[in-house]
Amino acid sequence: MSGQFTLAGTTLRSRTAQATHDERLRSSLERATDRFVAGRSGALDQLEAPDELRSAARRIRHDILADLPRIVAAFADRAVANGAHVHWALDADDANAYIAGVAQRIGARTIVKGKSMVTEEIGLNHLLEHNGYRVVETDLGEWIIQLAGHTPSHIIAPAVHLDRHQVREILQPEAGTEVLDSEPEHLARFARRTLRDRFLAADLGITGCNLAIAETGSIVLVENEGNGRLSSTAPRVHIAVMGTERIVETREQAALFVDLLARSATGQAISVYTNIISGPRRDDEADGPDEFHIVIVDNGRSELLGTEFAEALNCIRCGACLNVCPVYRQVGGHAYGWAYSGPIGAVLTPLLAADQPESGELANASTLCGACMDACPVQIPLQDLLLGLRRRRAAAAHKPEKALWRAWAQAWGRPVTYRASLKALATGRRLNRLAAMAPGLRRWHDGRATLTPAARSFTERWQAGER
Amino acid sequence: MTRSELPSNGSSEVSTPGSAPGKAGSRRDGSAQTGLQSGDRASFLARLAGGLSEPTPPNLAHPLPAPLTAMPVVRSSALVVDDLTVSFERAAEALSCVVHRVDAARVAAVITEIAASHGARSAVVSSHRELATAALALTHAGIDVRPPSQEAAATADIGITLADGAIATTGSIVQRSDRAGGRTTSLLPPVHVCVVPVGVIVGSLAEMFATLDPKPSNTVIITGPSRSGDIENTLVRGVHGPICVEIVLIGP
Repeated sequence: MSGQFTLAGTTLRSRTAQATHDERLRSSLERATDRFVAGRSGALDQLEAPDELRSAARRIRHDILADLPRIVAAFADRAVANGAHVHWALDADDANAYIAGVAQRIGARTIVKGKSMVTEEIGLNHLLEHNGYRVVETDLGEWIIQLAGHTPSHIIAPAVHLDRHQVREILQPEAGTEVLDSEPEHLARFARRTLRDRFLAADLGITGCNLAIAETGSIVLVENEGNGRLSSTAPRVHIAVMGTERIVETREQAALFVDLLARSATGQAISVYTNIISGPRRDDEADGPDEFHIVIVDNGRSELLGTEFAEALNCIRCGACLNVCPVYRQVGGHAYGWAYSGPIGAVLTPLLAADQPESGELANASTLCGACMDACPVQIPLQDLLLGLRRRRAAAAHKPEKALWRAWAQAWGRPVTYRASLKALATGRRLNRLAAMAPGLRRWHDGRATLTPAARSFTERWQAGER
Repeated sequence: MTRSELPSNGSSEVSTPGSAPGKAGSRRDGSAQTGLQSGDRASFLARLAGGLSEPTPPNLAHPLPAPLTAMPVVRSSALVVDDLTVSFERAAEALSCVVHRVDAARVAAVITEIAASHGARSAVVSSHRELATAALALTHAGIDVRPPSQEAAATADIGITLADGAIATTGSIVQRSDRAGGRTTSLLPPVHVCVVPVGVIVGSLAEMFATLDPKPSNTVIITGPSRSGDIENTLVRGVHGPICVEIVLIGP
């Protein structure tokens, strides 16, 4: 099992068509992405030479990946020395089984969750709910979409596709006889009251992890609401789930990525809470969990190492590429059909969910304009990765299409056949009009402009000595 | 699914997911007790090494930057380099924290005034020597003062802590769970009052991280009141953590 695939059985075309016809969605997206883009540029403008920092960050991420086995092993050893339990999960089932095992051993009933993309990826909630646990998402946006049965539509703003009236309707059943108002502050206070009781009743807290520092064996959890702090503090057991690539080696590196993360994500200089968690509660501490587990998840990541797609693992999940993407801005996250959306989703989904036949065409959900790389705090060359995915897909494409392209390449490779083909093109204009009416070719034709060759070719005019 | 459980090294114990890992966590002296490792560490690391056995193809369109000779320094225009206190105060106020700059002698009185202004009837106070006078003053003012614990913090009107550090660039306060006497004092009550001696302020996040120690189970960098923009990008304060953060800055 790997996550909730809303793309199963659909096409990119059908999903984007659905999104672009939803006026409410498009105005929500425009408001959110415009605000994030403005916030990001304001926050980066405060820094001296931000592009040099991004470039350095890319190099640091590259060097970490190149030495990943040693750094991850050092992290685990250090974390274990700090009192954490570390589980090495090869895939989604492995991670889910471990977490379910912990829940069962401690006799958990209510599980609170901080926002975590990797647990969306591995479909953890589904399994835990199936096993009879009450799983409560506690990030305001995640709670809303959990109640609505949706998947996140933005990496950092999961309920971005909903407006306040839709949110009110979704939360109302939780309020019993109390009638909710659609004012965001009122709704947030209601969430505070309702979720506070669940935090205090929960036996197990599950969170993600933004960074893991090998030097100290600590994980870093960045958030604004305090739900990550509560999920990692109030229940007696805390499990942090991390993709292998969250790792950094030193505290200095961690500081750089924390500095870039919130600026790129929301435009804050730093998020409200940067939690650095180094183990379970010590005996001289007043509170905190008795047990702390770290689940390190591979789930296909190791297969990207050493390939042209390795840089996709550099992502720090800020969402900046979504906000600037001309495709994401129109269609939102659900059109991408999995946990990750936007340019990084269009890259990660075909790579990490390669077993889903519908995932491959996501590489086409891009204009290759390169705005994503310009916004990326670690300069992932997303357009190159998307192009690489298209190349790979084309190589595996249908034989007739490949033969057609090969014939074209051969024809235009020789002067005689090239010239003959141009002559034929004039007649071909009529063919083009025919294609517009042929049912099979209609769609192909509709997306393309009709070629209009000049009356006389350049070669002909050159030979006639025209000036 | 079968998984071979392989120890990482001679000293690590190994457990299976369902088994009780025993009393891990901490010892009486406060030092950490070693945790356990589970799952197939050897295969996990072998897969990573296997992926790296072939060199990553170079990206010709956007070549990799040259190796670094030193870590880059993040410099923000928000930092007033020659006055960290002013810088901290400005940044914290911009986040809607209320900042009181007072003499050490006035701390207890100011905290009592803040508690009164919020109509607090109960308070959780970190058990620091520096806060003892304030705790006494609050008790005299008729406020129910309790030592840090999750139970106390869950029902208190106000939480009072001492900062272990502060960051001038961002107006952040830093708290270690061992010294601050807990994580929940600054988290559960709707109002958090933090006493910041000016001497603990450093310039940047990097300087703070350089001193990070994994001995306390939790170090938290707090930058303003809890907030969310999850509904229509509208900023709402006090979603799960404090709605209001007041900072009592002690120094000249």
